[in-house]
Amino acid sequence: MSDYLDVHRKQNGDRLHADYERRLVARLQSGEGEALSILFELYLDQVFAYARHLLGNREDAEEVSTEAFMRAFEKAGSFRGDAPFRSWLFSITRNLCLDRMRQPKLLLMEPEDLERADVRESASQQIDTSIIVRQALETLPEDQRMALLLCDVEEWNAGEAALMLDRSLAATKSLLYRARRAMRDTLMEMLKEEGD
Amino acid sequence: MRCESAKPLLELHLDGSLPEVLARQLEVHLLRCAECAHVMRAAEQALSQLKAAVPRAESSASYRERTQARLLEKFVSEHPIALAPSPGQWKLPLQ
Repeated sequence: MSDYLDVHRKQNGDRLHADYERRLVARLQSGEGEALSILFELYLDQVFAYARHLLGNREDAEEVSTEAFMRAFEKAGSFRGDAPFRSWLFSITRNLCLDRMRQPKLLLMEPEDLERADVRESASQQIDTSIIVRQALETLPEDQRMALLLCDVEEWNAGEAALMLDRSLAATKSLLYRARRAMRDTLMEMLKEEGD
Repeated sequence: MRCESAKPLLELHLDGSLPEVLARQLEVHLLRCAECAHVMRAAEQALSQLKAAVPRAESSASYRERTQARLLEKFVSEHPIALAPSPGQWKLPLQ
């Protein structure tokens, strides 16, 4: 998550963050470019991370993230503030991702991921484990997988993940815990089979 | 605490989501029950393996700069009176 967002939240709390966001949107609506830059910095990491994990590759995630901000800022004038700006932005991001997922997918694993695996995990057993973890992830339903990736890999709090996934907090936590249980059981089983 | 009560709590204990009293009861149970302790270790291991296998999604600095400039350019062209911030102004004021 953005350092800016993290520090700001810790210092000011969610309610004050919401007030701050409202003021930023008002400044954007009155034509202040600085407000656009701050909103972009605040939410780029979240928008990009969601798109990157859901779409599975950097190129699509970058295109979708750019498009999401483009649309959100284009229509900022008509934003009424009934819900937080970021809910609106996240909803645009989700829809763009869904559109993108309907298109044929060519790239399954990126060269940078393979490179990272080579550099970070020199021992073959660790590479095997990494592949097993990715396979286990693929067996999860998409909503559980995304809750797990956002909360446990990206380290968002459940409230932020709920906003991005468009679920209640309770539903998001339930997805997360079911995903953790499923991953634990699948990994135990897969690693046991590997060891036999 | 018995195993059937403890097992559903293990994943919540991973990120410290359990109320303190329940967390203490669970920890006492884990000290006494080898089977639940084994499952707890597996859950911790699964979490660390996940973090090791899946990198965090970080946008590149070049993408960030390129996109911010593009958004700003479009915005300024649509709002002729808008003033683009200087790079030093892009920092988020925290106070």
